[in-house]
Amino acid sequence: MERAALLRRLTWQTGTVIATTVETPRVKTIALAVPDWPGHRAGQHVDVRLTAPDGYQTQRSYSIASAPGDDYLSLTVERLDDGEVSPYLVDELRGGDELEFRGPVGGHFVWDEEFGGPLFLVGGGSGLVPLRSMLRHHRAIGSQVPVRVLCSARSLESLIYREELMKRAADDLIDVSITLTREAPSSWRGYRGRIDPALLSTAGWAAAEEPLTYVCGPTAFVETAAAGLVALGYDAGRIRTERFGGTGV
Amino acid sequence: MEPLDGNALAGVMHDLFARDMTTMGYKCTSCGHTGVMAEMVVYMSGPGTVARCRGCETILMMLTERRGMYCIDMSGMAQPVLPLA
Repeated sequence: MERAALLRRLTWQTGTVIATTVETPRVKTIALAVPDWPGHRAGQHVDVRLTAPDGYQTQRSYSIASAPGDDYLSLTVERLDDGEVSPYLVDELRGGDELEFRGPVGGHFVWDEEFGGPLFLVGGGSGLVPLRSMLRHHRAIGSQVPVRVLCSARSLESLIYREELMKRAADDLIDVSITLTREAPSSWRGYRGRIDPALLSTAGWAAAEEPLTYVCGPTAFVETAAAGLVALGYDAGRIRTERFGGTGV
Repeated sequence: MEPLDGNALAGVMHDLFARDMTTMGYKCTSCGHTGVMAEMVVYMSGPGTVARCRGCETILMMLTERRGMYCIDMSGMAQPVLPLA
């Protein structure tokens, strides 16, 4: 009986928009109140479905930005100019609106505390979204797993979660490295340029420490990072990747 | 159109198989590469969804939907190992 109860198809449900937060000119975080949210694992995502007045439906998958224990379910969405779903979510959606979605889904790109670490989180552009869920979860449960984070963004203005990342960097267990690929302020003391093995080596762990690595970003970014990590001697079996179709970093 | 990966199929596959399928193991019939669904190269921009092997680009799986009916063709995938529900 118990097993039969678990085998359920996913059902679409509705959340109410509590607030939207502008992360960058192209990116917003949408906080949703969801009745009976079953909870999720850090790194999972949901499918969002929009229905036009003529009945046409389209859906996209978005990573969950909030920690499992947060009050609201948050999604961070980057506006793609030729997108069918993201322009509505970023430009039109307002507090009080309802949003249809199903989830949580995904069991590969997730971090549970028993997986241990040390953790190396590598995010390009809005690839930081599921990594933010992991970082928040890490803090919420008081995990003692040491974490290194490497963020790649085009510019400081296009780096999402800027303030939150800076705050978390004050934690002894958390190291945050940022590289800016297109433009950096003259006073910038972080890294510049695209990720490469040298930067991964500096910002990450020695392979001998057997880090558990999560890489999320546009396809080319993930391929570069994963190949670089393997070249540095990282165990490919402890590198988890998620690629999405966002804009470049 | 840039390909995504098998994580993008999590929702529809969960719906159809009533469990997370991104950790489903498979073996490519062409090159013998083994992996999990999350690592497949996935193209979703066409009328259907095509998943290819990350090792050799052989088509592992095609997924089409019409009027709520799904058709899954796992032509290039031997030994799909379903995760526990």
